[in-house]
Amino acid sequence: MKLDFESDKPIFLQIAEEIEEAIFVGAFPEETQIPSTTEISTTFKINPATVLKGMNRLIDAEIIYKRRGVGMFVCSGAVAKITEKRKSDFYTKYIESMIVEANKLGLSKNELFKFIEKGMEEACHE
Amino acid sequence: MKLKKTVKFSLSTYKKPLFIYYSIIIGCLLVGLLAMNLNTDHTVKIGGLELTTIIFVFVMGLTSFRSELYLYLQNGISRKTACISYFITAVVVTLFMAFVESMCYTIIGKNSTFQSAFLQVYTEMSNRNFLYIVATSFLWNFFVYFAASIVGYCIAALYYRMNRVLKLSVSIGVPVTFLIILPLIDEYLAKGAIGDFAKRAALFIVGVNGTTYHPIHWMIFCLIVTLLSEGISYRLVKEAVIKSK
Amino acid sequence: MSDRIGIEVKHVTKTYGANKALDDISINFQKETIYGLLGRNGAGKTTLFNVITNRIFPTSGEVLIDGQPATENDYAQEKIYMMSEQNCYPETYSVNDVFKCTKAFYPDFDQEMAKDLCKKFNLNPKKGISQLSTGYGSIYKLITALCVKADYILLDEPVLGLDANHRDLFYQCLLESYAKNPRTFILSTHLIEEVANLVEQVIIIKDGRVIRNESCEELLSSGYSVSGTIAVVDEFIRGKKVIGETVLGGLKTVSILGRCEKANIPAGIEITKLDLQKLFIDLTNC
Repeated sequence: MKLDFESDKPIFLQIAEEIEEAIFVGAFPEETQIPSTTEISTTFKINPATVLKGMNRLIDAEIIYKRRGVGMFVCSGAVAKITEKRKSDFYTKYIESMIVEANKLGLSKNELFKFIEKGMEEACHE
Repeated sequence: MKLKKTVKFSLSTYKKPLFIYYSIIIGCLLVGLLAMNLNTDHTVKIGGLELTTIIFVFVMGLTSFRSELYLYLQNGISRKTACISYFITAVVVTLFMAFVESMCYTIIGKNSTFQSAFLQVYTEMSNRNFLYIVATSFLWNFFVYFAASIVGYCIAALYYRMNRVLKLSVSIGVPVTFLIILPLIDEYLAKGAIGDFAKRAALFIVGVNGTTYHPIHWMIFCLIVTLLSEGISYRLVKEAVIKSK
Repeated sequence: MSDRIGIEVKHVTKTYGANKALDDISINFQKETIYGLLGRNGAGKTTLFNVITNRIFPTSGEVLIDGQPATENDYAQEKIYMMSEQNCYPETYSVNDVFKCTKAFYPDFDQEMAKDLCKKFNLNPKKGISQLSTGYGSIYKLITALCVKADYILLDEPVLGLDANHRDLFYQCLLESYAKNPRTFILSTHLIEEVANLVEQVIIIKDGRVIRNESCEELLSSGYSVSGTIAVVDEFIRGKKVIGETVLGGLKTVSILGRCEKANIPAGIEITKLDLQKLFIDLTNC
């Protein structure tokens, strides 16, 4: 997990996103415990209230839940929920900025498609 | 008020100084008694060690003021509690010292030419019964020790609260007045009247009138001094602030 | 018994002759929160702390601790502990003596934790406090403060003289202590960048007055930084409240007060978080 203190994205948001990413890639499997507020706060030297704010965001999105007296756990079906959300975010996050850059470079639609094909082929061979 | 805690702590800080003080006293006594025993002419006399105790408790008062004030303020104790705690601690410590010394010095005095300060002042009392001497000298010692401890504290409080100008005027003014100005006035203007008056006052306070003794005069005098000093100290401490260095 | 909780500083003024060290200050410190009290040297931070902890008396106004007056009140003061630059112990004391003394007046003082922290900071508790260097002089004090379980812990310039490693360790220990025994910590410092992530609420004092009292988040969102080529940046910042700028080669970075309209960002401009140091300097400059 990495936090960027220089970014203008609020820390609590970054924490929520980093935990979400870790759950998405399977680092925190469903129904297992994630690091506590205290652990994250002392590791990154952030106020626990900030960490809690990030966690509450995930609780509201039903990605994690709190087990009284134990800690925070990953919800069942969290990965599916995250995948859904990221799919709908995919366009705004990646496609839009890709097109902006492509236009800056003056790439045509065909050249852009060729790039995408090349990329997917290389990914298959890995 | 957190008086109990504070007094308990304060008393614990006197254990070491008392131990050291009495070790020295015992050492001196042993040397002195040895000298007296070896000296067959009986020209060597020791006694009056109570004076050192008076100095000891006076200095105790002088040094306690500031160190206790700062330590207590650091630990959330109010000035009121600090002042009263010192008062109670002084009572306990001086009671203890007065008791120990009145017992020891009278006993030692019985068996040698050692004389306690009390008996040096009230010489004819040595004929009285032992218990009476111990009891009276205990009270006599206690009141003077207690007064000295509170006066020391009061003087320290005064100096702490005074600004530089006042400090200088008092430090120079008081000794000059009593050691130079008054004697001069006495010599040239009053023709010795001040000196005479001082002598008579001193005798009255100590309670010596020829061979009739009233140790109670001295005890009351000390008590008045004590209460006055404590009252002044309390007023001074109430507004004492921590000075930033 | 009052239901009020917290340290309430109510219209406190402190004057020294013609100089107003504190000018009608009113602040409420809540329970179990980490505060950052920021201000330049001489702004009045230490004076405020001294008034709260009964070391000096306010010229006017009052301080209440959980509803009780703070002045000359043993029971109110036992809820507070302050770590200050000034040494209040006899010079002959060792660090252990300080711990013992603190335990006598704050019975919940965690001596085990104090021993532990001494090891972590590499401090020999048998050493005399007058023999310690500036850094270690701060360290034994902050260890003491972290181990007192009082409701409100005031730390006046806790990292004075500490090297980077010890500062980092201190922040870690502070958060651990806060997690284990949640209570209020008020850190007074001028190292704003370091404490920005630690504190929940920021209070900025200038010339004895409170000029900002808000959550760290609100403070951060009161502005933003832009960087890019000089020409592009200059065009962008026209009409905006600039509070600081740096130029390196052909690149310019500017700190701006105000809300950032993400939609209207021209090409070539990068938006980053507001530089708190610049904000602080701007707010506290005369």
